[in-house]
Amino acid sequence: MKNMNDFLDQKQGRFIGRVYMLILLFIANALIPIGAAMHYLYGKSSVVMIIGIISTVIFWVILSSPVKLK
Amino acid sequence: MNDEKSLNPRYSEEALKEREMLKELNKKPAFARTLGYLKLSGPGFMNAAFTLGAGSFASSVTLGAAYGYSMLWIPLYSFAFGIFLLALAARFVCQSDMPVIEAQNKYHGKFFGTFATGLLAGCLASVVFNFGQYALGADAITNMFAAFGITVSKGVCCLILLAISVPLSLMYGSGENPKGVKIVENVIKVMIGIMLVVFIAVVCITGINVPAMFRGLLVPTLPSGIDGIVTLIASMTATIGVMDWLLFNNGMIARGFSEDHERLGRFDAFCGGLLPVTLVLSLVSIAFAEAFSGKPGIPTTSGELCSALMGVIPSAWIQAGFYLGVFAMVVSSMIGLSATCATSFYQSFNIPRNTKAWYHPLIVLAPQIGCLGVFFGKPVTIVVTVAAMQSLFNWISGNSWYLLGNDPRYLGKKIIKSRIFNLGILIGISILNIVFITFVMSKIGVWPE
Repeated sequence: MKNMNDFLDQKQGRFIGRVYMLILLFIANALIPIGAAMHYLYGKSSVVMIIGIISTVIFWVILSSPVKLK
Repeated sequence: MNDEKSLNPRYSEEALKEREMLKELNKKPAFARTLGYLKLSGPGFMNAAFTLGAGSFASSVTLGAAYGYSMLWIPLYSFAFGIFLLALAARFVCQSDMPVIEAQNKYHGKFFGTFATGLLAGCLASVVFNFGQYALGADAITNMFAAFGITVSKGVCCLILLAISVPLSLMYGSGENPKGVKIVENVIKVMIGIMLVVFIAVVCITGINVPAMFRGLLVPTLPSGIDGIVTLIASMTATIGVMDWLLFNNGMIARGFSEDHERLGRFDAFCGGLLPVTLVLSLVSIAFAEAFSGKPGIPTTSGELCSALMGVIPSAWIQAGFYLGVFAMVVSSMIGLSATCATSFYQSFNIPRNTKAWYHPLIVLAPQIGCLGVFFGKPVTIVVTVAAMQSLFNWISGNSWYLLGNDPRYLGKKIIKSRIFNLGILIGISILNIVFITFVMSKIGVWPE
């Protein structure tokens, strides 16, 4: 957990880690409706939607760790 | 500094008195504390009144008429996840003297603060949304009188709406007078009460399918087709979006909330916001689910809504009551839109709020240009489209607010320390991201007709 805080908040000292993760969260979120449309509307594989859901949960877990105050 | 303090409502006599009262109240047992909080609550009810506007009403009507009970989950779920962002707004107001848009400008840049949150989501959206409020309000007045065989022109409807919303907007928009703000909040509480009573009465007449209601409330299902997707987006955006957070944020600032108010702020978001919003919107959806049961098509004018209701509500008084509820809904939203527009403007340009300045009434009343909406047709369609378009900006502000909540430079030691609080905010942001992507997909023609 300490390493996660280091990555999210202390690297370069200006929340760069959290911003990167938010961008990745946005991409993961985007995969959900895109994958859902591919699967339910066009009969394609559901892999994209499932990747979107799993990665969204992973980024939630990472980003929900609070900032460690010195 | 003394000048700043004299302008800041949190140092007003009324606010300082309330702070002392809260310190005593926080020591009392849960029941006495809840009663005390109910008396002191206000910004949450204001937020509910604002959320219960033309956008959420039109979306609920459309979803109820087209999909029956199955879409009742939308207001409950979207407000439930949005409530974490309201709690975040309470943290910002109570734990920092710096307004949130100013903080966004300072730490994330003016694109996120002044442009995305202040001007687009605050000012511009307030003006555009008010067109829909006036359109729906005028239709409600016309139909209310029509129930008794009286014809009212659109011009008269416009004057009635202006005569009520302008003075209340000015009183609430003055901000530095917590007493005036409290008066408006009490008017709003009465309006929410009217909405609840009349919509319950309507549902009593139309009837209710209890198992279908619980299934619709708790089990999410998706609508089919492009119209259904756009209405879903509009409904989620109208129920909880960046304007709602701003209004709640501004309501707390206007009431002079400080460190001791944070628990009251959270209580207010739940009891004053989540409960009335879910109740009223569910009742509206149920009324129209019953009124349109088995009929093809979706209503796009209030004439169609009215004729559907006429079939199931034979009493003219209940019909008039229903439209009175709609009227209360739009007037309360107009007040909220004016307050949001003014506060967002001042914060965006870092101009100190001076209620005696010549330009102040112009800024507060800028959204009243929406009175021209009275003369537009198809208010339901306009409102749903505008609400859906607002989803373009919500996610930008949501990400910025999450970062501020975790930023010690802004909140010091009062940053978010709970993983669950952060998770709730992130789920809310993910919903906004997905709503935004879905809206873009619907516009590029991914969803078939």
